[in-house]
Order: sequence, then C-alpha cells, then structure tokens
Amino acid sequence: MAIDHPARYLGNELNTVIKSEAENLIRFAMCFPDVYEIGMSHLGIQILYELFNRRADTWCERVYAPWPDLGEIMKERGIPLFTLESQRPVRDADFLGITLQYEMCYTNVLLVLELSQIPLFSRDRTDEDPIVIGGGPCTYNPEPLAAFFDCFYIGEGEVSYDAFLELYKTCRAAGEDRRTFLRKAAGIPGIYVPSLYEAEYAKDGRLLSFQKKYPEVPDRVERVVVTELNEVPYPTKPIVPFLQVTQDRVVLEVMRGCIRGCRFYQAGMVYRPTRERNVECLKRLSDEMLESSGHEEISLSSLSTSDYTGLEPLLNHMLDYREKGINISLPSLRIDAFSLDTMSKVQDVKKSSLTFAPEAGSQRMRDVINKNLTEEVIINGASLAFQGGWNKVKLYFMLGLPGEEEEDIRAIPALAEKIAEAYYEIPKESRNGKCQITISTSFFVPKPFTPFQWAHMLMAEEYVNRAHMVIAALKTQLNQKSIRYIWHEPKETVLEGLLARGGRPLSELILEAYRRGAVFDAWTEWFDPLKWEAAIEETGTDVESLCMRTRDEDELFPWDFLDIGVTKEFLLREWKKSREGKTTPNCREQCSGCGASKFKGGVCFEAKARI
Amino acid sequence: MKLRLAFEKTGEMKYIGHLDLRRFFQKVFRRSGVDMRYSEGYSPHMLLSFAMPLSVGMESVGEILDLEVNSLPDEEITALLNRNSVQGIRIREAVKLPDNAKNAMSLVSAADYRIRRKSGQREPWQDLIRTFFWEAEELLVTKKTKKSETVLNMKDLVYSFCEDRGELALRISSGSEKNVKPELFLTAFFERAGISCFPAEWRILRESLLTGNREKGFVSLLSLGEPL
Ligand code: SF4
Repeated sequence: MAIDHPARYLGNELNTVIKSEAENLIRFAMCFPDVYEIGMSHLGIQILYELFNRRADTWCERVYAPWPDLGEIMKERGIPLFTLESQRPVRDADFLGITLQYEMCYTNVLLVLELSQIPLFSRDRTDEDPIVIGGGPCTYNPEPLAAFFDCFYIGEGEVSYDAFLELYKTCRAAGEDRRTFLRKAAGIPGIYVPSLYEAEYAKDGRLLSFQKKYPEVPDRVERVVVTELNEVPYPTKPIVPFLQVTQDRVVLEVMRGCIRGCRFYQAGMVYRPTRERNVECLKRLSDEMLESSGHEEISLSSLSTSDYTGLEPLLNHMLDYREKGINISLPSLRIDAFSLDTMSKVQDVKKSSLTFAPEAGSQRMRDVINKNLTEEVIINGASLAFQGGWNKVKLYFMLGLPGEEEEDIRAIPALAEKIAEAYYEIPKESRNGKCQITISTSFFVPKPFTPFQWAHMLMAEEYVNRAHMVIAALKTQLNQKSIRYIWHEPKETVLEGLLARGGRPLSELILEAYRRGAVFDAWTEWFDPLKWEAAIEETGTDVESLCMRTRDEDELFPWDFLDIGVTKEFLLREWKKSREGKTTPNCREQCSGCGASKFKGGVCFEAKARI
Repeated sequence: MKLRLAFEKTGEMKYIGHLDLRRFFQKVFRRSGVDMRYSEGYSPHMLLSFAMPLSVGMESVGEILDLEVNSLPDEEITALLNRNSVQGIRIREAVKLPDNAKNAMSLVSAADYRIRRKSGQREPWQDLIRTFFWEAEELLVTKKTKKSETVLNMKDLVYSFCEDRGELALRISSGSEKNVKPELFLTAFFERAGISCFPAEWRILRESLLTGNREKGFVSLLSLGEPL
C-alpha cells in the first residue's frame, strides 16, 4: 500500500493532546475537510483545539480529508475515517465538527461523512452517530448544507462552546436523545439547528418564507462575538507538524474584524466590530509560542494589519527575534516609509516583491467598492519602494465588479503602466535593472452579508472577455515588457457564487455532484466542471435566477434569519451608495451605524465622531 | 564548536521524510534553547547536516547529525534534546569534534544493516550466504539513476554479510562515492539464492554509519569525536 505523505495520518506531532479514555469523556472530532497540509495551517482550528482540550471532560482530536490515494483504499476496504490522535473511528466520537472555510470544500464534507460511515443527511442519523456541527465563514449562509448538519455554530468559538458542552453532558446523563439535545441547544446563543426551522423555496431557488417550527426556538440566530480578545485562550502550544504545511510558522492573531468597509468583502462585514489584542498580550503570546513550538518563523494575522494601533511597538518586538535566528514573515502592509523600513530589515529587497491590492483599476470603481485608496497613494508608495531598492511589485484586482465598464477594466493595466513609469523615472544608476510588475485578477463573487449581496454575477464567457480586455489593453502599452498578467479560469467562480448564495434546495445539487465523483473541488487538478454542470442539469438548479439576477431590494435571502450584528438596512444603504459612487468612512474616522456596536466592544467604543 | 549526534529514528517516525526530519531537528534545537550557529544572510539557517538520508519507511538506530554551536548548554545535551523530541526520535550519544573535522556526509563510506523477515520464517542462511555470495565469482546488479545505468559487482561493495542471531547482518558501501541501497543488493541475492522476496516482507534496520575502507578497516563516525 503506497500512499503519499503517510505523515499526514500519524497524529504524533509535537504538542498533540492525548487523553486517557476516561468514562464520560466527551470526544470531539474536529475536521478541516481538506488535506492535512491545508487544514493544519488553519488558526481557527488550533484555537478551538486549545479551547476544548483545556476542559478536563473533553478530548478534541483532529480529522482531515484523506487525500484521494488513501480515500479510495478506505472506501474499497470499508476502513472508517479515523481521528489522528487516538486513531479511532470518527463515528465513535460524540461530535464531528467541520469547519467550512470555502464553498469549494462542500463535496469534501460529504466525503468526510461517507468515509466516517455517518449518514449524510441529518434526518437519517441516530443516537449512535456523532452530532455533526459546522462552523467557519461559510456558515454565514449555511443553508446549502443545512440538510447535512445537525447544527451550526454561528460566530466565535470562545463564546458558547462551554455552554454547549455542558448542556450535552446534562442531556447525556439524563439519557436524553439527540433530538432533545438539539432542541435545547437551539436556545444557546449562536447555535442554529436547521431542522427546527421550515423554509419554503420557489422553483427558481428564491426563498419564499422561513419560519421556526416551535415556539421556544429563537426567531433569529444571533452571531456570538468575543468582546475582550486579551482575555480569551490562545493556542500557546501549537501543534508542530512534521510535514511542511502552508503555515509552517507561529501565527499571531493581532485583531479580529476590519475598520474598512470594503463592499465586496464578506470578512470585513461579518467579523465586525474590529477588536484588538494589546501589544503586551501579543508579546507574551509570541514569546510563549516560539518557545513551545521551536518554529523559526513568525507572522501576524488579521484582515488589515496596517490598521493595528500597536503595530510599531509590536513589529519592533518581533525584530528583536531576529537575533535568535527567527524569520519574520510580514503580512501585506500598507506601503509607507515605516513599513518599507521594517521590510528592508527582514527581507532581501532585491528578491522580495511588494504587494498592493487596489482591487479596482479606476478611481470610480474604487469608490464603488469603497476601497479607500487613491492612485496618488499607490504611485507614491511604489516610488518610495523603488527608491528603497525594490523592483518587483504585485497588484491584485477584481474583475466583474458591479457596474464595471470597459474603461474601468482598461484602467487596470493603465495603473500598472503608471507604476512602471514611476520606476523608470528613477535615474538609471540608482535602479536595479528592469522592474517586474505582476497584475493578478480574480473574478468577483457577491457574498452574503455584504452590500453587494444584491449584485448579479456574469456568465463564465463574459469573465473571460474581461480578462482579454486587460490583455488587449496591456499590449498597447509602452512598458508592456515589464508587466505580467495572471488570471484564473472563471469556471469555479460561478459555482462558488451559486454555493455561496443558494438556499436549502442546493443540498441536492451538492449531493448529485458528489455522487458523480466531485471531490477536492478546491484543487485545480481535481476540479471537474463537467460533473457540476451535469449535476446542475440533473437537479434543475436555476443558476440564472440565483446568480445572474440583480436581487430585489426587499428580497428575502436564505441567510436573513442570521443576525450578524451588521443590519440589512446598513448593507442596503451601502449598496445604494455604491451605485452612486459614494464612499463611506472607516470605523475610526466615523461610525456609520452598521449595527455591530450592539456587541458592546471594540472600535465602536473608541472615541470618535458619531452619526 | 562542532558536535556530532547519533540518534534513532524508529516506529512511526520512519514515515517522516528527510527534509521534514531536518525541519524537525531545527525545531528541537530551538525548543531546547541550544546556542546554535547560523549562516549569514537575510534568512539565516542553522548549521547542521546529516550524514546520509534514510529512505522513508526504514528504521534506524544509528543516524548521524553534525551541528555547530557557539556554546554548550548547561544541561547534558542528549537529555536536553530528548526532552524536546518526540517518541521515535531519540538521541543516543553526542560527541565533540575537532574544529577541522570533515562533515559526516563526506566521510560516510559504509553502513551496517540488519535484515529480518517480519514473519520470523528462517532459511539456512549460513549455507545460502556462503554458496550464493562468498563462493560466487560475482553478483552483478544494475543501478539505475535518472541519467545512467551502471553495473556493479556486489562482491566489491559488500564488506560483510552473515547471519547473526537469526537475522542477516550486512555491511555495504554507502555514501557519496559508491552508494548501494541494501534493498538493491538483497533483491539480487535472494533471486540468486532462490528465495521469494517481497520487499514488504522484510524489515531492514540501519544500525550504523561508518567511515574508512576495506584495507584499513571501518570505524563508527562517532568515534572521530570525544565524549562531551
Ligand atoms: S457600529 Fe460603527 S464603529 Fe462599530 S463597526 Fe459599525 S460602523 Fe464601525
């Protein structure tokens, strides 16, 4: 039996938690439904692992989707999927938690369930099966997966899991069945039990009504949020993989949320309000983590690290680590004198490249998406960097944004051209050869809980057209030899939009695609659009209605029953403003009354102007 | 200061590949707080080198790792490192090398292996080895690399081969100059001796890495240093 990277399945990494199988131990199998190297790089799971294993009565173990080489063998021989730590079947655990980080992992959820020999549908499970609970960003529209999950956890794990596990203990001691437990769990803030709600859909996939079935169940499920980040547990003894995983380093989460209200960005909306850890706390955490893991690299994690108020003292502390041979991997910071100075200390200027994310080429479009970044700032930043010796620049853009015109598309290579010009303005003697500018575009997907949730998508061919417009415009430019353009095939884009925006009927589509062999869809080498196209055909899924239609302002969305703090009124206001090309200030400049202040923490309570 | 460690890689750790093992050791040294020497540059790396990679799936009780430190830790180094290691990677011994010592990688010229059938099934090994190896004129194997094929006579490259307590003990040419994997030799030998051979039936354990040559004799790489 030859399988790739057997170390994926051993579960003997340093800092793994092994508990003795005491009676009544709650066994929680925590799954990232992708391959080990991806899953192990995920901070959220490490946080939950810490959180659960702190409890003497709970043992949290890890599960990943076996790579198809092993998956096939397991299917053939009927070997049940196992947790890494105890190497015991997942189906023997009390809970199977699955984190949903991207839509393209949905078929892998079914793979994990099937390999675990757990019934795919929640309704078919018995008291012998684990309770299957989902979490992560995709739960901000859990409906396409609702049939496969017993419950979802909406929000930050630190808040409600204790109450959830305590309730489980009580129910188990009282000999109550899973349905009773789930019914009671629905009363815990952040817990959504789909079977307790009834949803009616039109044939074209539009939601007609959504109602609770029982009076004691909450009308809306509230997202739970940590108000004081300095006080919650953090994985100071991270598991240290043997394999080289994507994040083979200490990851320090400096804050949650983002003060900038980019209108396309789901994370910027659903993680509001912005909350910071203080510098002292971060210094302590990073010291501890470096010591316990032996990692030789550290990086910072947040949605927009440049907005962290303690950035300077924090980076200075990190620079001190260099004496101990520790590398600093800097997140993409806003380019200014300070960040360039810091970067020049930790990377080889000649080899490294600088990253800008203007997201849109024209100022008009940047105003539409509320990306408060002007061309002047970009060019000045680039010039400053060029003077500092850099000559490689990466630019990230989106294509297919609401209201995008040909002019806006042509502005993308034009911006790159201006940056190249800024480079060649520097006297030849002080330049470092040619400059290399890389433009990278992705296609925009309107996500739930963003001001663009009303926006429509484009057909795959139209995305390709737009990419070709970039290429054509680029070819007319003087400095085209210094500019490289990368774009990704749009086949996944429409599917991603469909899975992100659809409702409960999509569970049939996901199942059908899975039955046709779709797995590991996030991997180009595995993704097979034909299987999905056939499944769309077979299930009669109305892609047109779900993706290609500008949604009515008063349309009921499948995810409206979630209360994430940010209100639909605010999102609608933002949607309207975007169509007028009006921008909205960030949370530090002025509060826009998005609704997230009800969580009573973070940036909403910093001193500033209010509207 | 140059140090040399002998360590074991056993149990599940046999599945850990060579590059992963290197990263693992870097982290062990860091967790242990050993005052390692680093290379210069933007991404300095620890000065450490292994004598010879071990194939994934093979266990060993005699791996060799060279490293450079600025100073010795207060605590006895093997105990310190073992406290920061995992099950399956155990440091057996540490020695201090002279400053001008060559690194282990360039010195290795032979390796000792022990081979047994997992089932425990025995053969009249002594006779088979005598007849089909020592008394044979030659035992040729073809070594394939990406670029070329070479025919090697095992009689020149196997330095010792005998039965010992029911297992086979093999000393075979290894290292940068003439490296012969034990599987390659064994397959050829079993075939000659008419023994059916499925690689999965055998457990091959690397016992030690040696330097020297046939004429002057072989010594363990550890013996080139002084006990700490
Ligand atoms: S309530 Fe105001 S300050 Fe708080 S997140 Fe919303 S817009 Fe920002």
